[in-house]
Amino acid sequence: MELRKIVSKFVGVAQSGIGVLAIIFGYILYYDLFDIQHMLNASAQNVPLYILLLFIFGLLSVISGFFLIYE
Amino acid sequence: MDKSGLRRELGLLHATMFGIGGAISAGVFVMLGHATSLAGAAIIIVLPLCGIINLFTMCSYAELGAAIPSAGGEYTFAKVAYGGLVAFLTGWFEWISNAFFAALSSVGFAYIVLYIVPTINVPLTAIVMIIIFTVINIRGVKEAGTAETVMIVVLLIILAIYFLVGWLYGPGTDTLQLSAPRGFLGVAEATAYIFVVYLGAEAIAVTQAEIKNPSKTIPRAIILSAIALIVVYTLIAYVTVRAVSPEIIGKEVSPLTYVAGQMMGPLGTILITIAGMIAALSSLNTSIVAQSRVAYALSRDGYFPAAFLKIHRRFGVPHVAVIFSSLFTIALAATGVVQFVGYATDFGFIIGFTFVNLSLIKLRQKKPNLERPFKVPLYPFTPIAGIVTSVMLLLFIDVKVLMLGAGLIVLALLAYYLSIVGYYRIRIAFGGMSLGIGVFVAFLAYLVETELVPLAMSPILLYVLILVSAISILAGVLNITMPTRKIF
Repeated sequence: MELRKIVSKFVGVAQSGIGVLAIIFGYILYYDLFDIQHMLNASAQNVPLYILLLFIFGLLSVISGFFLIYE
Repeated sequence: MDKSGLRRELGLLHATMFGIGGAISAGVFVMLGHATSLAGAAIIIVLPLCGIINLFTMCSYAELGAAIPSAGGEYTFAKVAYGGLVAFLTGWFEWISNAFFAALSSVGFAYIVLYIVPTINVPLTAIVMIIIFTVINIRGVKEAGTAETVMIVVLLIILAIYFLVGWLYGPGTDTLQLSAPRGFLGVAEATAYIFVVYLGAEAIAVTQAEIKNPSKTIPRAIILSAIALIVVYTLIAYVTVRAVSPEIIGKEVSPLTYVAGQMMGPLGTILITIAGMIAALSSLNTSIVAQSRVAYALSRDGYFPAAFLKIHRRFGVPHVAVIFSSLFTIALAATGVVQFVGYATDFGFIIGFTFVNLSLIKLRQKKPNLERPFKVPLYPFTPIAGIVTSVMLLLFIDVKVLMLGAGLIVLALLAYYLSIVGYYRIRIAFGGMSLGIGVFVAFLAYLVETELVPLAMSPILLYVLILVSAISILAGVLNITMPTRKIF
């Protein structure tokens, strides 16, 4: 049971971290910091869709990760 | 100390300043222009009219706040009166509108600073201010109250200078004609448009669990701040339209700054800019306090995570609720979109007003023997007038606001459903979604690796995809096979 707890915490932190990074990346893409849209060859027309996907993924990951951290 | 662990540290002065500070935001500095273009010189009548409409509902806040002085404000009133979904909806709109209001205030502050320093980054400045006021709020409610009092006193002094200079030395005549170029419709539209400058004073009710001698202080603070707002706004409007013609004011983006510049030169412009910054910060401070207390009350009843109930041992504030609410506000402020945030704020507050008046009527019938240190005068006319005027304001609001409101109601229903469906089912659902995402990402990585999908991807990015997939699958499995132990 202890091992499961440790694994859960570790995976939870990793998943939440990935989620937060996805949301931050969404903001970077939105504001086109570091000319990222050009770097990724992302057309301005598709950017809102990418941001939406990143936000949904990020939010799901953060919540799922929190469930594991506070198990 | 309150039974909840929150400390009763706010006196009449602090509570009243929370009310005034919650309402006087950057809004009045910019909205007066468009309102004057709608109502003309009759803006002098529009502002006290809005104040009287606000006073109807503030009387209901005063009665309920004194009778039920526990944390949560409108949410707590609706919970005692109706319970269930109505209470949750009230709390939800109260929480979300305060979060939007905090974001609006911080972004508004950043735009005013931008006027002086054109090189600043608006979202970043807004975020820094939210962080500063979050720290002040975690240090204790008394500290937040003191900060509020200092800011409002300075703000009122600047506005008093504006009024006195305008009245004694400003241009214009004493024979001001109260004409409304667009007639009654223009006056009604201006009333609906500028009513928002009175919203936010109900923050007193939200912090009522931290107010000393609540049965006396709450009604006095609410009524005092509502009357003070009427006086301040009316005097400002009077001096403004007396000094410069309504046609010119109607075209100005920041009419008060323009008029102050005309009356006092560059010093006037600087003074009013400082006043605008203080107003924005004071409403930011109030809304951070308000939204965290609503989150605290919602978690007390199991709608929000129990972690929000934690009270800081040293400072006696719900620090987890403050931090979470501020993070949500930061996410909103980072977008820098003022218009959307402004719309959401208006809708949420007006819905809250309606529920408070309904709660008052319901409680008068349901609990006639409830001890009421303050009673609404002219009952039931006053709360009914509060409901009718709130609904009328909704009719004059832009269609986009109503669309947004409908979206917020759907979100609220979803959140309510999730809160009653139970922790285990929600966790299994999130586990399933996590597993699905992990499998999808693994499949995507496989397609790219085998070149079945012609997508140019660097090896590092491919490894990142595999790592994300592995963690998501593992997290999904762990969430689905959780041990059966209740956490929330």
